[in-house]
Amino acid sequence: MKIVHAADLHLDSPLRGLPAYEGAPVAEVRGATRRALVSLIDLCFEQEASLLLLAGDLYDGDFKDYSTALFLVEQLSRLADLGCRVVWLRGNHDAQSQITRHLRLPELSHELSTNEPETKVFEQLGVAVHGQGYVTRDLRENLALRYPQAHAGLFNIGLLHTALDGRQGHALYAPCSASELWARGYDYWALGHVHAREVIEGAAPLVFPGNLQGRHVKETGPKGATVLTLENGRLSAFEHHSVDVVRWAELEVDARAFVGFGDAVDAASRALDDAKNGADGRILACRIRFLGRTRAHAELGARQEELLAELRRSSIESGAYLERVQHKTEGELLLETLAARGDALAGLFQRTQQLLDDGEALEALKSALLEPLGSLSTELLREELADFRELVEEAQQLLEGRLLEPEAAD
Amino acid sequence: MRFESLELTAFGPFSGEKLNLSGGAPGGLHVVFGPNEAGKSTSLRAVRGLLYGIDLRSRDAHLHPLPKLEVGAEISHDGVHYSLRRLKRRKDTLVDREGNPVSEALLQQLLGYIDERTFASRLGLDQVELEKGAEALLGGSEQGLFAAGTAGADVRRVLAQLEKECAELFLQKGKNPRLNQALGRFSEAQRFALEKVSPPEKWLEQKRALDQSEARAQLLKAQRRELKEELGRKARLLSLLSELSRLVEVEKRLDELGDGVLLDEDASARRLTAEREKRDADIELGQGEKELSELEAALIALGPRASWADVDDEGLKLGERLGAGQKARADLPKRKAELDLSLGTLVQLGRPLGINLEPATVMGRLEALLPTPSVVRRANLLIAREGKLRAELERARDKLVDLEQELARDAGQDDASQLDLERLARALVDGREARSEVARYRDWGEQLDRERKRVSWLERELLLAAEFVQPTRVQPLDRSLIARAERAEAQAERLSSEQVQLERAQDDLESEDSELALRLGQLERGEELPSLGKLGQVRARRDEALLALSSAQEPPQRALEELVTWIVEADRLADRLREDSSRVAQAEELVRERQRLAIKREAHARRLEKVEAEQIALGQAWTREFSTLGIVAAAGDWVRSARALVELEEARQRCNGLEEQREVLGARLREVRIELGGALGQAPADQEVTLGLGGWVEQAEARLGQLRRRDEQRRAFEARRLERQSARGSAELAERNAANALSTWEQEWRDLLDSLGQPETTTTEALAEVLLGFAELSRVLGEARSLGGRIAGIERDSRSFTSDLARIAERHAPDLVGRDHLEVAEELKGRLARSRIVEQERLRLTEEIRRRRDRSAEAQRKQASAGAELEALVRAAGAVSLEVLPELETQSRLRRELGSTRAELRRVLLDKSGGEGIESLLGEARAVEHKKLFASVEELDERLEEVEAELRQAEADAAANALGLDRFGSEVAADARQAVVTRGAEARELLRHYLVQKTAQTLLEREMSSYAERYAGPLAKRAAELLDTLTLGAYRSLRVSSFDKTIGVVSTKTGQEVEIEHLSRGTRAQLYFALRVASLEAHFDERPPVPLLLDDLFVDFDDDRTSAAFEILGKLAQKVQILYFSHLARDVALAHDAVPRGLCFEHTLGGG
Repeated sequence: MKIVHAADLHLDSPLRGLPAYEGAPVAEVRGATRRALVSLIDLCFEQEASLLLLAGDLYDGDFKDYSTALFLVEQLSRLADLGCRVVWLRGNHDAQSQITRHLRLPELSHELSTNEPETKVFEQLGVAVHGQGYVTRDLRENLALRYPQAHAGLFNIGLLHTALDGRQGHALYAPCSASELWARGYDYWALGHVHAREVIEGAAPLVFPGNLQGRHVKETGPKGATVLTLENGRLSAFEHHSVDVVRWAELEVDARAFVGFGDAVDAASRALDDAKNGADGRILACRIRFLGRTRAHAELGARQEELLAELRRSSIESGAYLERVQHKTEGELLLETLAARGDALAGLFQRTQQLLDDGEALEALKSALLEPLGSLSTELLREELADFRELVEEAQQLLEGRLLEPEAAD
Repeated sequence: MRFESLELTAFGPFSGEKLNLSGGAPGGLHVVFGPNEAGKSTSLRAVRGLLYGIDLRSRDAHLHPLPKLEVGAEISHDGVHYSLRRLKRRKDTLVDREGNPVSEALLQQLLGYIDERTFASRLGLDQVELEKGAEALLGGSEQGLFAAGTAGADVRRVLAQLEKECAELFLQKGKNPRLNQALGRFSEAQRFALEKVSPPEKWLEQKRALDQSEARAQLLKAQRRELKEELGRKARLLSLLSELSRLVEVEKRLDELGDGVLLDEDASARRLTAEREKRDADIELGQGEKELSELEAALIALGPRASWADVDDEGLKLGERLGAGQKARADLPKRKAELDLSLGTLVQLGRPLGINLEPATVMGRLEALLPTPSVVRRANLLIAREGKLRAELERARDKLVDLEQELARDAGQDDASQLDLERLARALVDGREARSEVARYRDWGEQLDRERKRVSWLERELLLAAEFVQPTRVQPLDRSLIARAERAEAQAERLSSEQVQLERAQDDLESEDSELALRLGQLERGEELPSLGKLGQVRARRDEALLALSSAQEPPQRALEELVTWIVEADRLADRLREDSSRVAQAEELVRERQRLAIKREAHARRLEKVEAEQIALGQAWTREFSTLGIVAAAGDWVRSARALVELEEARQRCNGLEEQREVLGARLREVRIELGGALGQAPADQEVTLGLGGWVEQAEARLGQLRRRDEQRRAFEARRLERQSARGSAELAERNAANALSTWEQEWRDLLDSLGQPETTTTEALAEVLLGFAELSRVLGEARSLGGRIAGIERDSRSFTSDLARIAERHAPDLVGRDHLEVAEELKGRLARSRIVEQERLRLTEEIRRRRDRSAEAQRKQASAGAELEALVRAAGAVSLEVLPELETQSRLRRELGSTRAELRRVLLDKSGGEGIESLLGEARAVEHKKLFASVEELDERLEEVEAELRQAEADAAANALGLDRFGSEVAADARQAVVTRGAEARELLRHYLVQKTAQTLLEREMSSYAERYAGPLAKRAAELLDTLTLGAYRSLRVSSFDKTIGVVSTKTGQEVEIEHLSRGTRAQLYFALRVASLEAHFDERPPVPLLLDDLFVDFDDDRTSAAFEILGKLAQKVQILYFSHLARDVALAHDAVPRGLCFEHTLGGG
């Protein structure tokens, strides 16, 4: 018997950070979360699954469009032909979602209670699913403590939307420890909320399948669901199956051997091709980061825009979507050496370096920059100025390029 | 650092050109004069090539090839001399005088870590730079000063570029810049996305509306159904009223007709047909009788049938045989004459061949005398083979004779002698191998020399103690020495820097303390202070005066004045005391500050002592360490010493290794020489290892070649002899075979002649003639036989024809018997043709009579049949006679038509009755009034239309609501949400780009302002002095405003300030030169000097200003070495005049 475990569908959640540029596969990226859901249902059919578990966050909490719900219902309804049942619960996003409040899922779907832990027993399958959904978004209560003990003679699954005892980048909702979960005596914990796939081995596997579709550059790698195989009422295997349609990647390109601009383009293009080949025919959304101490540092700094345009051309050829190019290189001309020359330029870079280590000065510079930008979207500004230090470093690299290697800028 | 000399060893047009630049140390102005084309620019490039490497694509390789380019220099720095050479190659291009690689880091250190571009722009200045600098000044004080400080005008361009790029990206109230546009698109996407979101409530509302509209449509559909039923029923009745009345009428007429015989529908037609057929048959019968009697009369007129009718003309072929008979009668005599001629020819041809026959018998006997075809074939074969066999025998014999002769010649040849080559070949292999080793042997020797020199140099450099020079064995050296020395140097440097800092701090503290002491002294030196007692006294006096004044009836003016005086005095004293308390407090504060400073100074002094002690300890430790290794290393130079020591040890090891390898190789080379000598039969006379080895090898190679060629010749000769012997065997066999074949032929020939009866001596040519005669005889005999056959055939045919004709004439034409058979044939042919025509006419008439009789019989049959049909019709109608039959037929047809109409009406009514039945319809029609029925139908129709309109509306509503609901299933909102994010990312990218540009711009502007603020004062002051000198007093002071970012100079003549943009280009250039020199002076105040390279700077200056400029350079040259390249002889003279003796030196390029 097969059970499919997925979480964090975030249906109709947009893919962030991908700018529109000529030739960018904008249309291909559109509707990625929907297509991932279709693939999930296809997976249920392929595996002839008897049960689909959804561990919360079906949509983004702030999105109110009801077509999202209708699409979910349409897809889950397909499972009726297979006789596959669905058990789901609300996560932090669903708790505040207006869509969830009006949602009427198909007959074979069952939502676990938000008031107290509920157990749904499937006698025919020999499976009991225990779980409780979120009644509010900001749920800080340890829900697991109140989950019932395992039912004897059945395969017990705990369904829970939690960050356990904390996961980077995820709010600490429904906190609990692994040992508290194991103490319930269940055979498998189907968890949700953490977007990176993670398996915690122990008395029973605690599995975060990760989200169905990566939505930004921090959600890289294959995304999908976990398929459980039960033989004679026992878990014989569980494995990941990718259903994502857009694959995110961060490509780090070693710039140490670069002599000039062309090397950067060649190396990054190669990295793009390799990554695209590894994406199993999916669209590759990626960020390129140049690293290392290199002779080409100043030239890359001076020709940032040109390099971006060049790499976008390469990305179009490779069938990839370039999110951004980051310059994290260092020049061969050390600032110490520059300082030893003792001229006005040395002063410029010395002082910029001091500025980077001075929080207050950085704040002052930021305020000065913001002053004439009052009319700009504060949302955008906030995001871009979040790491102001990095921005100043980029400016420094630009100046290095323009002032120390003016030929490169010409 | 400074150049002591510059050596253009091989560069551009120079070969071994050397400039002595040692004069004027530590500075010195060296004017390098080179007229145009003398290589002034080349030498400037050479200096840069020396310092930073020769360009891989150097254009200075015209006299010397690119790989041979070389520049050298003696450089001094802090009292240390370096002799460096720069080579044009890929690796290790910087070497010392001995060719040892020198680290580029050393040169970088000497140059104060200045990269090539900065060196060119900061420490080099040419006219172009001067122009650019002058232009940069127009950008404002900050840019001008900063440009002078960075020695380039790029700052202005970079700043302008950044500003331009920022403006292209974003403008506060702009629409077109890229970021503004992207933001517009972002806002539009946000607005659109907001519009497209449909929350669940809207969906529910839409669903409710759909349900309602669908329910209403259902209701209306039910109403419409009922109405339609009612309307249908009434409309049907209305539409059937006319059919119903027609039915009633038809039935009435049928009743009136009553019952009667219903005839068949075709009864009338059948009657008419039978009557017509009977009439036609009567006419035909009459016509037939007449025609028959005419035909029979014609047949009788032809008479009886003739006997000719039986003659088979086809079998007789009378016409054909008549023609052949006539032709044979003409040909026969000709053929007989031809036969006689042939027989005569045969008799004549037979005679030369010995056959003598008469013409009458020749044909019968000749056959047996002719040779058979197989004998003729055999004879021809033997004739043909004779020549071939004789030629073959001839050739074999000739070849045998030739080979015997060649072998006889070969027997006289000398057989080459065998030589033993093996020993020489072996020696040569060894020799060649050894020869390739000779170069290595020599290389090792050179390498060894170099290494030994390097060891000596390093030993000298390290000042090794005697026991460490040329040690008997190389001491194992601790390899971490360099790393430790580096650490120690770093520590020493840190200590030294700390010492300097501490000393500076100490100086600062001391000057601060002196200042405090001064201020304290000033405070202490203040006027004598009034005491509090004195103030009390004055106040008592004031109070007394006040008391006296208040008690007096009339206060005198004096008392009043006195009171005022005391009040004033008391206030003054109080004020003084207040002031003093502040002064005391200040003094106390100063004293406390001085105490704090003293503590700080003491702490610094202690730290300084400690640092010095640490420095000394470090120095001593390392002096000890190095002394145990035999060298004396100066503090701070430990790394160099350690490196040199390690290098020395490595060099010594390399020397030993090379010596050993070389010795082994030498022994091997000697052995090979001896081996080669032995093989050549000579012995080497000297002991020098490599001497003449090449010559020995060449000699051995030549000798070996000679021997090999002779050996090859001998082998070739032997092979040829064997080949010829084998050929002779083959030739002998061929000769024997040919002789045998000829003998066999001769026997066969004799047999043949015998069989032909020819004499034995008959030659092949003679027999060939005989055979030709026989062949001709045979041909003529064939012709004669053919003629005999043809004559016999003609005669046979004639006889047969005559006999056939006689037989026919006896039977059918007895009148012709006895006449010539050809005449009989002619007559019979005519008679036969005529009888054929009569017989054909007889056949035609007989056939015509038969057909006429058949037609009459058919007419009789039809006549009978029509009569029978008419009788049957009368019987069927029950008529008394044929004449009443038409009337009965008319009644029957009417009755049938009315019945059919009634049936049709009933069928139509039944179809339209809607299942009600005709009787019910008739009943209903009778009961209703037509007008009322019509009105009711109209009313129902109108109502139905109304309901249908309402239904259409309800259905349209439902469709619209369903469509609205369908829209909830679209992805528009989600797509719009994605579009917002995509547009946002686009805007963010541009925004980030803008922010980076703007930040870079801000940082650069701030730095320029800060630079200007820091250096404006001192730099302006010094630059003003220089400008005064350069402009010969035309401008005397310089103002740099950090407030409005301008530079102004004050004209001496007008006393007015002149803005920079109002200065002439020349003056601006002078101003920039002044600023650059001032900036360089400031730079060299703090850092060790590096040579300046100036290239024809003063081309546009007049003599006075050039002198002034040299005067300025002369002052700078006291401290800094200046190489001034010029193509003007004027400059050399002016420099000598303007610069103090001992500082100015002249060099001429290409002039020695």
